[in-house]
Amino acid sequence: MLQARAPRLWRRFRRRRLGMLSLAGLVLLAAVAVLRPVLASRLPIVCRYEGRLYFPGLVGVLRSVPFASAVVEESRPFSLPSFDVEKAVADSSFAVRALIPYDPLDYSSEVRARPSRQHWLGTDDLGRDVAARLVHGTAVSLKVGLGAMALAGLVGIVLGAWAGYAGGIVDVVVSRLIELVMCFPVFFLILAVMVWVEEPGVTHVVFVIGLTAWTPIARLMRAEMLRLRGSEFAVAARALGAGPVRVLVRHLLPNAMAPVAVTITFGVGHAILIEAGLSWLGFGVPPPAPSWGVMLRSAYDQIQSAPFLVYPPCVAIFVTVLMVNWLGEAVRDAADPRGESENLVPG
Amino acid sequence: MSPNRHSAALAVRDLRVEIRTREGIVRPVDGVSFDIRPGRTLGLAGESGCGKTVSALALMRLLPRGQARISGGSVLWSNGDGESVNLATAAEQEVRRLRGRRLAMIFQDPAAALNPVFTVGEQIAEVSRLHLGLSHGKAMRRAVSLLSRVGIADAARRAREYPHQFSGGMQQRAMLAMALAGEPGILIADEPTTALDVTVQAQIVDLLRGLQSEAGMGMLWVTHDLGVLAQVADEICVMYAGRIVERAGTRELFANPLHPYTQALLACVPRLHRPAGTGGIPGSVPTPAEVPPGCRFHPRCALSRRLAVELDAELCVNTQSGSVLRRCVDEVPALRPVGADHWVACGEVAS
Repeated sequence: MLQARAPRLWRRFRRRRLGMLSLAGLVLLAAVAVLRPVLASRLPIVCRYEGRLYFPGLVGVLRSVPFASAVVEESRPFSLPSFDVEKAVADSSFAVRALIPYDPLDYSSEVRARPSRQHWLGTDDLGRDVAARLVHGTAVSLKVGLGAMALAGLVGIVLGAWAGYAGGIVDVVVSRLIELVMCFPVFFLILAVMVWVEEPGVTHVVFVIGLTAWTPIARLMRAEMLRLRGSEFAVAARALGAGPVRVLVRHLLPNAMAPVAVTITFGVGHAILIEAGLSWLGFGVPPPAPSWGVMLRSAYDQIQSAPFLVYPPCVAIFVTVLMVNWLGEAVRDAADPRGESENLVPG
Repeated sequence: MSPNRHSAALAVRDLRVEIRTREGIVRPVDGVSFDIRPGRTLGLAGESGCGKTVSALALMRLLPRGQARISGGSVLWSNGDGESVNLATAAEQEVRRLRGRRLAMIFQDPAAALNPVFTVGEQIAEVSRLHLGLSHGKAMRRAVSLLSRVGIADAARRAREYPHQFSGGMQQRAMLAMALAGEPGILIADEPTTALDVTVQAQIVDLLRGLQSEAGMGMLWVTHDLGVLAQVADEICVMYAGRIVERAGTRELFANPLHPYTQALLACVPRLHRPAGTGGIPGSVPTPAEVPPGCRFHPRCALSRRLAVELDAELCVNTQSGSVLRRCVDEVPALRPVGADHWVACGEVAS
């Protein structure tokens, strides 16, 4: 049934300009996140040194691909050149540099430089290139946003649907659990966990946000199920021989997914903001690593002396959250077959 | 297809349904018996709230869990091969195996009974996949042929459309195609034409009659509309406040209605040669929570009141709704035979 449905969903989604624009933007962001070692790196993508071609920039990309690391270290084309890259680039007869030829962690004496040809978005208080850090920070934000909400969506949909459909004691237990988790100040829970964990990293942030952000999804799902389980088409499905699992999964869930999908996409934006807030406080991704929140934090400290540092992470967060929300709305509209008014034959 | 599809039958005996409410337990169906015979149509008639829909749902064991339950009686399904199942007491698993395959049901409001997010074809195909184990492709082709069988033109294209793109009559046809997909021996139709306008009603009635004689299904047709039953039913049970008050062959019932309620009900059917404004039956159906003692119809019964005027005062009793016969308040009238194929639950009529 799904295989028959997916192309239709896509066909209707494609007509929504804002949704397509957002999807394209997010795909671009994901590409930036994956290709970050090529986009922003002091290693050249290709260089000829002492008569041989090297691809030092590609090494980073290949390393982030699972199982590819085996190919990287040994064989020559992708091996790390064991020489001073700066010197090699200067000496080599041929070199293709990355778009932003800086590493996100490279310090320089050029601190708080205004945006220029060399540093498109300027440099921060330690002389690090802001554009390079922004590119590398994309991965963190997307990982947190998508990872946390995938987890939250899974937990929320399963618990909410189960509670709403089964009712009785299951409903009571799940509802109380929802209330319990909702009463927790999430932000401080995350702070506590991050302090307690020995080496806090992106994964911890993903799990803590994911395991606390599922409550609105579960609540919405439960309410939808309460509404739908008494619906006539649920009774009709049972009258035709469908069992409870089939009624729930095949008949009720697809009807409940539209509003839930929107809640989840809004949650993606929220998770990105939580990560930014955490990093801003210094409890998120450990400081030297680039993340939009970390960048915002350090920019805030110098808002008097270098106000231009605030804009890049702000705009990045804003645009990403906005695109995710637009995408969610477009998916919701496309998923509702009643929105399709063509072919309507009266009578 | 089972070899004896044409001999499936359903025998309902003394069916009782209980609903838990805040005010206590009420019994919207209280001792109902009837038979659905192979290839025949049984009409179940009555006003809103008389328990006819609850009875239909109870037969399929579709009463809302935790709120209503079958509290007594039996619903014996048999297929003519000696296989029989008491649906009132069978395990849920067993009942589920029969639903859609041996017994199917269509509903009053097809717009609500079809799933809005799947195409009509997919929904019909699901039944064949579930019960006949067909592949997706085969089931879809079968769905198209079922759609054309229920009279939908351009079925191949229509199968790919969503329920909201169908008109009310087409939705009911699609619902019917779903019900027929499992090739059931018994079809329960709960007010299948009520939500449709009159011309479409006539089409659906014709369609159902045609399909029934073609497939030899036994049918239960639940409705408040005696006019429809006159066209489709072989036999009619008239229900009032959770009980059957009269049962007779269709011709017999219309020619010779005996129970005062049936008479009053028939008097309400508009006729061409009779002036409009039949006035209806005074009072209203009692809610299951406040059924009157004795004959449940006595507060509204014209016969009982008329006899109370004619007969001695000692045979009468004064109630809120006037003077009625004492026996109507004291005795619960049983359904008794008064002629060939004619049963009535009224102490006065039977004696």
